[in-house]
Amino acid sequence: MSDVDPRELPRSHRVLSDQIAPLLDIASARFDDPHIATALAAVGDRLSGPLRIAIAGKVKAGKSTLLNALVGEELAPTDASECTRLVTWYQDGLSYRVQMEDSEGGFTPLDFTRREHQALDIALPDRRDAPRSLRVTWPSQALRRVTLIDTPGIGSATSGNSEATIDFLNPNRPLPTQADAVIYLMNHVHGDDVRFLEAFHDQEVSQATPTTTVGILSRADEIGGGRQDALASAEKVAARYRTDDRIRSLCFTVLPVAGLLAQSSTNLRQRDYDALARLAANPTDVVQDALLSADRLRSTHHVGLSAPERESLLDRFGMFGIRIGAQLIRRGLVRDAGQLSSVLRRQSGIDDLAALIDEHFIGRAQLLRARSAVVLLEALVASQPAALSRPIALGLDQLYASAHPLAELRALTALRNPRLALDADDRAEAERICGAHGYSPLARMGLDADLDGVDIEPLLVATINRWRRKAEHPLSPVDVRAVSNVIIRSCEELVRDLPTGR
Amino acid sequence: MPRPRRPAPPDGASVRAVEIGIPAPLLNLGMTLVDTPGVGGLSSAHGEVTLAALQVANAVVFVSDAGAEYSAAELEFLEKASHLCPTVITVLTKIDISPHWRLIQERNAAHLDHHNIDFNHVATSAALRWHALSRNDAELDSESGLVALEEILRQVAANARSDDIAHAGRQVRSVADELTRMFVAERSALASTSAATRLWEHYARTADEADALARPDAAWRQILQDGATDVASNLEHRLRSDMRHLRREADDAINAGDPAEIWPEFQPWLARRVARAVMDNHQQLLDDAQRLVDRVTGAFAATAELADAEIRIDLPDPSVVAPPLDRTLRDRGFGQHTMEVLKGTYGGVLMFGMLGTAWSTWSVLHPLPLLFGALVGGNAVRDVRSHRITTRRTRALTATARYLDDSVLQVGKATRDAVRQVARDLRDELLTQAARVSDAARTQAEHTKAIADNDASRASARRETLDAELAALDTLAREADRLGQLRTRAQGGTGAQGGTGAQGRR
Repeated sequence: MSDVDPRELPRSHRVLSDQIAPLLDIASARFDDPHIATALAAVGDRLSGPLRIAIAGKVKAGKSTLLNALVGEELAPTDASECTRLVTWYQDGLSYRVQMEDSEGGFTPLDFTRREHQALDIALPDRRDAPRSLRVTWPSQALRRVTLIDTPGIGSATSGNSEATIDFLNPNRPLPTQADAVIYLMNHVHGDDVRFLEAFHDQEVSQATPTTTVGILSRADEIGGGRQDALASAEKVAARYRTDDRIRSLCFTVLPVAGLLAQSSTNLRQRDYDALARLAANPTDVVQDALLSADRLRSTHHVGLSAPERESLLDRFGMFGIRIGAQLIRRGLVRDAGQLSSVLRRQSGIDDLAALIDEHFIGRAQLLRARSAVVLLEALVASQPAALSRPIALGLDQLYASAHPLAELRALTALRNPRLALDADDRAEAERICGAHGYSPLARMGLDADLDGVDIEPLLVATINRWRRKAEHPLSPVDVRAVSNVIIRSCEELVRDLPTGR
Repeated sequence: MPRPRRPAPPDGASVRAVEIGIPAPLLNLGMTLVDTPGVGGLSSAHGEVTLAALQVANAVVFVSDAGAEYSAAELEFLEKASHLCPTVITVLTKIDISPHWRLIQERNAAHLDHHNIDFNHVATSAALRWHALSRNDAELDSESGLVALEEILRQVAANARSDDIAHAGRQVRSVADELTRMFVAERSALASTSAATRLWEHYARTADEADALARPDAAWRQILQDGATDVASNLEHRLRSDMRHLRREADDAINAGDPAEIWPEFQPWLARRVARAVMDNHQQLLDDAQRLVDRVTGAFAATAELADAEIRIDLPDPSVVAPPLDRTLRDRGFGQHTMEVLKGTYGGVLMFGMLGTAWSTWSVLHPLPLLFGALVGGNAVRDVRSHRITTRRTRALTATARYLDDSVLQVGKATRDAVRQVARDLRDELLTQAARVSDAARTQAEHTKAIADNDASRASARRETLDAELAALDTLAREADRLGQLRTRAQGGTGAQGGTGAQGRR
């Protein structure tokens, strides 16, 4: 993931955390409850730490595989059976470490082993009081700007596993959920998925919103039955979901990703390439026969691959990956491991996801982190005696009045509500202006980046006038007026920030 | 196997089912395949359709992806399905692209065993089948697993047919037995006049006792009357208390926030919960009705046995008592009408279109506050438009109350009617049997009396006729037994997992 230059962010985002820090100080001075103090300290730390993205989804949706693909290393164990049983944090650090968080919130170091190119093998203590979560500290470029959180699958037939995730992302807890954003994996969208997503979404600025959730159509390679055009069919399915009102109101977008392909192409070894090349060197009908099914490949001994090699290919690439890889090599489209890796990676859709995470999550990391702090402060105001929390309530009011990005975030959520009386074009424009596709003035106005230097002031003024008519029209419903006012202010801020001396 | 494809549903039309006729060898066996929407799909109507289809199915084929083991929702569905449908066939698909399908299959089997669900298992790959057909490759065809599946489906069809044949066989057998007993009795009466007189007295007593069975104060009639009242009132009480509980939960949710915000989610939730309560109620109805039928027929048989061990009352074979009541009743010769009534218990409720995804564990098992907690967060309560919220709340509470009242009214009425109908059918059936026994005994008595008075030559001629008749009846009874056993044999074949050998297929 590339680094985003903080200077490219709108000034208002940077100011936001500066405004929140004093509020947190006021709060910690007024409340001496140790729980509140801990929560405030944690939120304070989060303001400067990496963004926290949770990866959630149904059992066997491929969460750990996707996590490995995003980190670029095989860390999380990915077996055929359900294997993530604890909420596991993967964070950047100076040394390799695995810790266990117990029910009291304390951390104990754990022993772990990891053979080359294999998942971590963590020695969990055989104790009655189950650990609350695991923290894996792993020096990694990919984890520098995001902390990834792997969660047990929803809808598990083994009771207890799902509860861990529901508890982790539960919106009803007094404290804000610990993730700033969620990547939600689904195979085909299942009723369970929608209900789960709905459960941790909120109409207000607090908690999860469509802006902070991205849906992933995982195992995209299996949707078309592992045929070569599987990813195209997966994209079609994803496109259909993107236009579904219910899903639109829950996820920013839906992307197809072939997780296994992404994971193995990201750390593709020369050995893998050699094995695929030897397979592809066989006569066409032999290859076709061997690749009919996983069982066939296992029992075909005359393709120049040993049994362990065949097994390893199956584990690492799956039938779809092997078919595609062998074909690419046979047609001479790739000539070495590096080329194969990049073609497969592109095919897997992981690059699109990484770009989306960059732009959509990391690009507004400060805003998202600040939002988490606001959630906690709001919870305090709601739950504590007014006498104590009054200054915080006032501070929050000021913050809302001055911090326009929070209002934009709220408008983005409102825009996904199917009941909002705006047509599709207006919605798309409004989302763009609120920064859904980037915060640069050109991105907000839907203009190509190469138009840099063009005077956009007339366009902005026209846009402001159009939305002002909506805002002031007597027949406009309240929610449309609210959204319109946010857009007007966004445009006005753009005009204000236009380079002087044009 | 040419498989019917699902056509695109016409816009906006409320299609409940599509019927497709195609010439296919498998369907030629008299089998109807019903393709149902997925369990827990996006549309909440899916579960309802799937469930309705299960009610009338001989077997359910549950298809899941070889890439993942069963989820809690799928297991719950399978558990319900196994109660509604005698044969459960679990099918794994896409084994060609899932290297670890065997492990998944083992884990699925472990889950099913844990839930005590009997099943046949087949691992399949449609892609392999397609390749096999295009290259005419028999080995590949058998690898696809669809051959095994077809075999199991054929077996199911054959079982269904042999069930019918077996039923006919048992009917024939019981008639043959009754005739044999009459002839044997007559033949022994021919031996001496004193024997004939004894027999005549015996028959006369039997006829009197059978008449007593038909009197309104017979023990079984009391049990039937009281039992039916108990069943009806228990069911009603249960339904009302479920609904009251539900209403409290719903009221709390409405009072906690702005109904306008949660309404789109609230309605399907309420519908699902009501559907769930109705389902439970219906299951209870089936169980209770079954128990009542057992108790009453038991009492009837006990009295009848006291009267005469020789004249057998044609009571249903206990092996026929399978869980779904409709099947049992049909086997017992009760009218189609009763079945319709029992199924109709759903009718009124289904019109609300609410069975919904009653199986989706998450929404049902988790309390409403967790589902809506986020939606009705503290902010909404402090809203300046609070007076409007109060109005909306009142309206939401009224609407909910009315909906629940309507449901109780409809379901309660349907349940009461169903219980009454079962009681009436049972009473008519048993009265008919008592009358039949009484008639038969009286006829026999008159006959025996006639023989006792007759001369010796006619008696010997009659004895010869009787011997010939008895020999013929013996052959008939043995043939009927052979047919009657078809069912038991067929059942033994599909019991436990892997009974078909498909389990270990590579």
